Amino acid sequence: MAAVLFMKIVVNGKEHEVAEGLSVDALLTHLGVKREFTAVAVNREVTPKSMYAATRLAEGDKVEIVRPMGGGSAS
Amino acid sequence: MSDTNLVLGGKEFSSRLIVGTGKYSSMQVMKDAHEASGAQIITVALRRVSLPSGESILDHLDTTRYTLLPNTAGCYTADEAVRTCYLAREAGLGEMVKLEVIGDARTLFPDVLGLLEATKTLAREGFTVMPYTNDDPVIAKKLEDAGAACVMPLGAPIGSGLGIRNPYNIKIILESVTVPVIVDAGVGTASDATIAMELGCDGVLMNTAIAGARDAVDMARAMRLAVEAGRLAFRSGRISKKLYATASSPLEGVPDWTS
Repeated sequence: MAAVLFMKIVVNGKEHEVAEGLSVDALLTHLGVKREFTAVAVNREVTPKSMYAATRLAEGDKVEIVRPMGGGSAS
Repeated sequence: MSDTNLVLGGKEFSSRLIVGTGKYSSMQVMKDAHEASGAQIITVALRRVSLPSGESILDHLDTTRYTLLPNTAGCYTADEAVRTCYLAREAGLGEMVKLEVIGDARTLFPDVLGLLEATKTLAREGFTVMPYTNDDPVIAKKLEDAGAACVMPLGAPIGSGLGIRNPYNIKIILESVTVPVIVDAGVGTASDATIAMELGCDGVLMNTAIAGARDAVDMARAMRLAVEAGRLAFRSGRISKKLYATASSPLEGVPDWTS
């Protein structure tokens, strides 16, 4: 059995150790994040939902996962 | 006299009150306040999900009922604001955005240079851009020319509750642009909303005035009535102001009581 290699990525400002070559899709599943009204950016670029499975993360990638929260103005 | 609807991004709204989702004491109070406000547009902020729950405010809101208006609150550059709008679109929140580019943390006044730049970029990308701006008629006109769907001048600093501090500038903005003018920020109580509407504004956006009130639900209802009252008064054409009295009873036929 091949050894699973790990890499470090930063998700919402926090370091995570995940399997090497993990896709955005697999990351969301791994973290248990709901897909509805969710958006993802990798290294400042928005990842379209249609690209979640094809987008492979690399060591040091910075991932932002956002959803709507309460707010009015500049809150 | 029937009123026209507020039109934004090709969508029509009979309510001219836009409300927020921040600072409520509970989800239930927020839901009840939204209901009482009669609002059809509700603003939300995009934030990092907190792991592992990943809860969103929209898990608690009937999203089929309201038009969601994602905002770029907390953005200090045009670049951040534009990227936030792309995220909002990808999140499925639509293409109508409340654009904020904040220039200063203490006053939360807008950085109008960044705002103008972001408005241009987003309008070109097909967004319905609703920029939060200051009460400067020159910038309002530039925002319209840049493709803004409306302009949203502040009445006073965000969350200050100071009311409409410069009604004359708001009036000049109304004469300067053809897009809707929506007062965003500064409203503290119902009469502030009425004043904005009496000036001829097309709508009012507020959050803290409702969410921070001791009874948020009743305040939401007060705001609904205030916006409607102001709108009706504006459309009804107020009397002009005069320094001296004008009798409202006929002067003819007054009985003679002199002996």
